[in-house]
Amino acid sequence: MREPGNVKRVESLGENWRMDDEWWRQPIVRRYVEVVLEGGGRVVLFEDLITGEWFVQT
Amino acid sequence: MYTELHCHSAFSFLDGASLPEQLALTASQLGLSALALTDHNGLYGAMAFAQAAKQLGLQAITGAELTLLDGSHVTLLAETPEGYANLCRLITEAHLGREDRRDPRLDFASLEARHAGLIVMSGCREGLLPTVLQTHGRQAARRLAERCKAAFGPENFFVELQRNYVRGDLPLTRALIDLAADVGLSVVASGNVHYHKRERHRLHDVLVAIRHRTTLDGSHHVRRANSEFFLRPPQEVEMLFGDCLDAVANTNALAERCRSFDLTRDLGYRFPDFHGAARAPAPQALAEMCRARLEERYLAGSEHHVLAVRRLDEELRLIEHHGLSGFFLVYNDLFDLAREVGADVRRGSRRARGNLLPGRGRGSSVSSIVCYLLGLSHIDPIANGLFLGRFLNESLASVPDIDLDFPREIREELIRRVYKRYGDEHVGLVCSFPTYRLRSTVREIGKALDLPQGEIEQVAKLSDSRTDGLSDEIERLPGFAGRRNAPLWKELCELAEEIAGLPRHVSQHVGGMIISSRPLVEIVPLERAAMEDRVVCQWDKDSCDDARFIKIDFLALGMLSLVEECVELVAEREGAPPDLSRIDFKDPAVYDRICRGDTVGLFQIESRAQIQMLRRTRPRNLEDLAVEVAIVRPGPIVGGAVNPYVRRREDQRRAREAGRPYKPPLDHPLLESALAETLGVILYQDQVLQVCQALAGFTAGQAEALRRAMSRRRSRELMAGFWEEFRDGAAARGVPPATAERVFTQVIAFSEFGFPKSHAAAFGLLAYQSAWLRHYHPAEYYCALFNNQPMGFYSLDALGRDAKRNGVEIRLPDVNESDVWCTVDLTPFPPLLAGEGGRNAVRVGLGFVRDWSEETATAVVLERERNGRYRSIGDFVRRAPPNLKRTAIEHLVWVGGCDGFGLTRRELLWQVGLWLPPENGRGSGGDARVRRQLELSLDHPYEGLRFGDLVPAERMLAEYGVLGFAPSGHPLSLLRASLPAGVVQSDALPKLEHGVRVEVAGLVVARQRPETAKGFVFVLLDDVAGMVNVIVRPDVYDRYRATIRGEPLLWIAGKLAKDDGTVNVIAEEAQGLKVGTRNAERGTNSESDSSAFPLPHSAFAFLKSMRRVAPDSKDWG
Repeated sequence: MREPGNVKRVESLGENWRMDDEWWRQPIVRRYVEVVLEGGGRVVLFEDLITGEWFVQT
Repeated sequence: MYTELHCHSAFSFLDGASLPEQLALTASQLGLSALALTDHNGLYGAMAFAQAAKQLGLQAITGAELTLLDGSHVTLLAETPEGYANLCRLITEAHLGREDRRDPRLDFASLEARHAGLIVMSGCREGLLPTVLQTHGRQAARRLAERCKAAFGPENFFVELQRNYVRGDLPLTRALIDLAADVGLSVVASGNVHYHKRERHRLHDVLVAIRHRTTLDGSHHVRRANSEFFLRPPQEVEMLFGDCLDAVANTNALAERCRSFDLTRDLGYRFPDFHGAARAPAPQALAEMCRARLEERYLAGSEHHVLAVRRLDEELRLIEHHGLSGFFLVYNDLFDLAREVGADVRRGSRRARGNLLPGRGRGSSVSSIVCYLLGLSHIDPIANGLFLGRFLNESLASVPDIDLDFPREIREELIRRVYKRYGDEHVGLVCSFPTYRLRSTVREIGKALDLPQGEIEQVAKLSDSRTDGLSDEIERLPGFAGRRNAPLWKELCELAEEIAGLPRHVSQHVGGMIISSRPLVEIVPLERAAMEDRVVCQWDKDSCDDARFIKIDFLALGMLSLVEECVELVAEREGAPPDLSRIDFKDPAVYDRICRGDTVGLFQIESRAQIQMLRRTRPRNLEDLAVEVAIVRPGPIVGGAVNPYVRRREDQRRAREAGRPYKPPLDHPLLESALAETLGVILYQDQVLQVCQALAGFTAGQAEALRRAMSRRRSRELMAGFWEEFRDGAAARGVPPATAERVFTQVIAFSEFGFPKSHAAAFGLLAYQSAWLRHYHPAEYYCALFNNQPMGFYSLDALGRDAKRNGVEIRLPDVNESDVWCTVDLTPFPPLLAGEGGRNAVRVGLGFVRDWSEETATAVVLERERNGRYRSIGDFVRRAPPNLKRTAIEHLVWVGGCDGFGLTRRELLWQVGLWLPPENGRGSGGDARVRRQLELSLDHPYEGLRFGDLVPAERMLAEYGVLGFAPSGHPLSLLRASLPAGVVQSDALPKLEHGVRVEVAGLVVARQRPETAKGFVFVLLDDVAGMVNVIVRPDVYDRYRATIRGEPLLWIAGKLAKDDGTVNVIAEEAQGLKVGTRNAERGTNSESDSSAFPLPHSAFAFLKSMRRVAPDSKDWG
């Protein structure tokens, strides 16, 4: 996983889940993945399934 | 492979967004070999699902997800017939064992005690084990799992695993897998399906919001997190459960075990035995009974004796052939029971001597001579030439319906006695599933979407009631153009289409009852109906039909209650009741009024369209009346039968007058026997079968299949499926293809509602009896009509004015004269103005006054009977029951109920205010009176103040506000001088030329937009002199939609259309009634406006107030 100035290897993938919400307004459709990084850190990434972009859940 | 074992349909009510049929079809398309339907606490959709699955070659597994006392869920599947019976009993217990009928829950101990033949799964995230695991931890969950294992056995209890890409699914299912392994239980995968395809998740979200009475935004915490609760392809499920494939394999193993029970095959329903079954076999008993009665009804040597004997032999043969002798004999028992009930209910009344039947047959069974001889029908099928095939035929595929109408009182008691005779567990009423209609759809989805309430109401009120095409409707609504593509409105339109046809709630079928020899509670779950003491089964009439249940139809018919009361009132006045079976059925005076269209308030021939038809066809006997009852129905209308029939009847009349024979034109000579009596067109359902047999050579089996198709939901599609057989059959008989097509169009028109001739004959007779009673006993008739509302086409306001036009005065309630309900008023009354009534009068009952209940009205009447008339308003206030609130007393005063005390209504209201302080909060009025009891008998220092009386406009507004109708007159009578100058009164229209431009105005009585009328709208206006029929073309309707649908008082300008004795106004312009400039500002002698019904200072003000209190019109379509 690459963050500005900080590149880490993904050790393993945890649970993945999906969210569909606010379809009546500005639809939110996301696929989340829990990622275990080298060194034991955990982050949650999500893909916006409408635009195809990936984000880190903060 | 994978089998889905946990699936909800729309029959989980607001927790499922697809119909069982949609789920079955999708499962089949996905390649599943089996699917379980597991709706919440019910098997409502199970039969429809099983039938649909069978057609698709899919194994339907019957199950349910039950809610336990602690709110957790458990999934149950019926493995065997015994398991199914237990499932039904458990569901029934969950419903009947609860105080709140909308919150069914089962005690886990009951499940432990009754689980044989059931497969138990641990449920969804809110399931038995997951709940304990998540709330009480692993040890508690382990203890529960061990308890389940011990109770149900490891081979019958499975730990359910669900993965729907919801955060937490993975750890939860892994914990459950570990738990199962520890305890020695097996796991099983399931999808917790709530809709058949992903796109439906939106509707599901909306349904959840509706269930929680909130918006989509407000339901975030209760809605499902994503759109993953759809029916998933098996390969995807295998991937999802790649780490525990035995959970997937077990789904198939369980499905295989469930093959031992098939809902379409293994119900084990049996009808109870008839009384005396031990003495003789059913066919013999039935034949003996019928033959004996035939000799009494058709004397040897009489006109119809030979035909009757032949018909009886034929019917008995068919009945025995289908094994239905016992069925007819049980009906005979039930009718004997009805006779007992009728005698008990009428005991002590004068009408007991009126030779009234306890009930009457309706529908196709009236064509049966067996029914006639058993008393189940009152129409002679031989004398009336009734066709049997619609009711009984060689290839009958289901048990025929015998429908019986009863007065309400008798029906209520009869239902109670049936429960008593056959036992609570053996009897249930058939349920129905009302589907979403446009208004409910717009309101409920609109609220979930958080659309502005005012706009939602506007759309709901102004749109026509069809949920499909809401988008087009919105586009046409004034002020809403362009909205259909606007955010939220677009969603509303799309969701309205998706929700159409989905069940909204459980209701009670109008009269269907199931009786079973085996406890019904083991065949279909029972639950409490909304009405107290009523239990409904969880299947509607189609599912009951598919289950081959015998449905007994006991229907409440308001007109029979009216007849009972009317006969009683006549007997009270004249000493003896009229015998309605022996009245003159050819009385010219009665037919003359019918032919004039003077039929408001009569049975079945009173509607706007029927009145027009009566004027055109001019019936002169009971057979003609049967035609009238049948002709204004969608079947004949869509089939294009109406106008040809009217024309040919006129031709026939002219030919008769000229002494010429008349032969009606026929589409083909083969149709003569079937259609000659209705002048070459199809008017009755039975003729559909006769036509198919005559023209296309349909066998009895084909005709039976067609008969069944005709009475099902989606009958049009089903009937259209007969086209090829019809075309080929007709071709084989040499019928040209174009003729066959033309006739078939008329045939499938009967997929719309239509009557069999037998039914029309039965209702035609009652229509005549109602006309006869009204003609010879008008006061009693209108009195009973008022007391038996709601019924029919008109509001009480319109009926009251019709009564007045027919010489019956409707008198305002009076505290010293009125009873609880309306009575015939025999007391002298000042003579009415010419044309404003006659010697007869109906006194409105106290129970009709707003805020009075039957209980308070009864108490007031009893007090008067015990201790004498009320002497003053103070005396009345003192003696009235404490729960009669001040506002209720004031309402009575407002409508003249205390005028007899010799004070003006304002003075009376003033005094009520002195004795009773204002009501502040609940029950304070009553308490205050109790505290002030001592004061009441003393003179009050301000008692003597004098005030002027109400003016006519004020009185009328009060009547509408308090009673909902105005006995004192028509609102337009007070506006005469202020109406637009060109307005013509209804009685002047017949004298005008056809085609002239006219303006009319009136109170809207009815608005109709029938599906069969191609967008035309019919509005019935009531003015001072009578009614005006307005026809609104679709383009005019589009221009004035809001006015026509919403205004209680209308002004219409258009062309006069006169044809065949009918008078219509073809609307060109429409407006809410506005008073003209002349005299519009004229005052109305006002003195004060500080009252509940503010004094209208001018015609403008009166009209404005009238719009607020005008009675609702009766609207259809």
